[in-house]
Amino acid sequence: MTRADQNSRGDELSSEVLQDFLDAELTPAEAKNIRERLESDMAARRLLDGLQRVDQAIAASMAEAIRAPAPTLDAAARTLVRSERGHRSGARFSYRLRLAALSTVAAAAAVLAIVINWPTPSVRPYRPAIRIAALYSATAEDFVPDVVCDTPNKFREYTETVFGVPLVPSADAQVAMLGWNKLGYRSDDDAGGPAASVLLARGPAGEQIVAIFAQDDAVRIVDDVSPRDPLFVHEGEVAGLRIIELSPVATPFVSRQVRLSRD
Amino acid sequence: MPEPRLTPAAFADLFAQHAPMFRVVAASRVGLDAADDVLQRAAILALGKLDSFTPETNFRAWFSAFVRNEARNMARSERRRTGLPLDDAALGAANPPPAMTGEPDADSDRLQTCLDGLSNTHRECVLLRVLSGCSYTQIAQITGLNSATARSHVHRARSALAACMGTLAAEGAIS
Repeated sequence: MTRADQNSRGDELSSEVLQDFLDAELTPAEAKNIRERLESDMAARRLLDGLQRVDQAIAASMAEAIRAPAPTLDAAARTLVRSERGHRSGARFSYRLRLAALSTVAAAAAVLAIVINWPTPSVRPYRPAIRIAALYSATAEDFVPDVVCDTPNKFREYTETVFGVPLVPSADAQVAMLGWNKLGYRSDDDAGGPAASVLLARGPAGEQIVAIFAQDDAVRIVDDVSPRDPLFVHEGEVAGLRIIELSPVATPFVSRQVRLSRD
Repeated sequence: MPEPRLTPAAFADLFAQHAPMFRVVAASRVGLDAADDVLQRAAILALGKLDSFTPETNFRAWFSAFVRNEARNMARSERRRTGLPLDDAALGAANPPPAMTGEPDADSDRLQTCLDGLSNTHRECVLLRVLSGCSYTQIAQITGLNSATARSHVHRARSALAACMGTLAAEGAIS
């Protein structure tokens, strides 16, 4: 007996079954049962009407805008795509032209990054020249590794699963997970809020990779950080939370925030 | 033989093909007005990291990660500009709900309010389902969840929206 059958014979039709009915996920027999039940069950009818109203409101409000043509890629990106199409169709573009296109993309990205992360005039960034080693030292306290990734592939799969970004795409990478630590809180239950975590690893060229994230699914990744490179650090207290934002000097656009402690 | 890599031209084709779905992912986090800006930024970043795409993997899942990260960055810079607290509670306030199009009506207004009350993940899942018609498997690929969790998120989000819109309608009727 299926869940839909059970539900249709039980006391109430659940919202879950009605949504499956709405989405045409039920078998014809199950759907027929639900339709019969709806004729006499006013509570279920009201529930279904409410769910249908949600779908209709979403479609009426957003469907047209969502289905609009794709946004035009920026000029820099278009240049890159055009040069690639030309190359594919047999036209030859000089190395200099391709380099110029790539440089344009890089410059556009850099300008974009600066604009995005440029602090407002009223905020003076706090930039002590702390070193990544100091960060690692701080995270080594109470070090409890939850996961050990002893091969590049395991690490790549792991970071892709957890962060949505494969941190080490090269199969030749020498990966060693150095630490995985939770800062600030003993546990979610104790603190009544999300904990911040820090993951340290070595990348293909031996560089340190630092991934900082909170459990609110907001992942912040700082990669290609040399142990000798200072970090930009913007620190402040907001609503009782000590906020620290980190970004390596070489790639300021990957500035990310991490909540380290509740003061 | 080396694996065929994703070329910028192939990227552009896939980007155009899947743009409506990526727009839903962006809109679920920053609103429709800013969604295309997020897609632009994500495209520029992705073009610089085409080598990180593994051909046998899912393009939608790969590029959605860029979209999601850029949406977060935009929400964050918006918070900085507006001076709102860097707080999860404020994230919802700083994230405008998807902007409405066409003539406003009561249900649309209620929907906007109720969408704002959902988590980013719930909002993304339900909009992918209702607007893009994605299967639970597709939603799972895009969001990095498993299918059962994606299904659960869709159900919970839609139930929450129905309850919220019903409550707001009742309050409106009383007042």
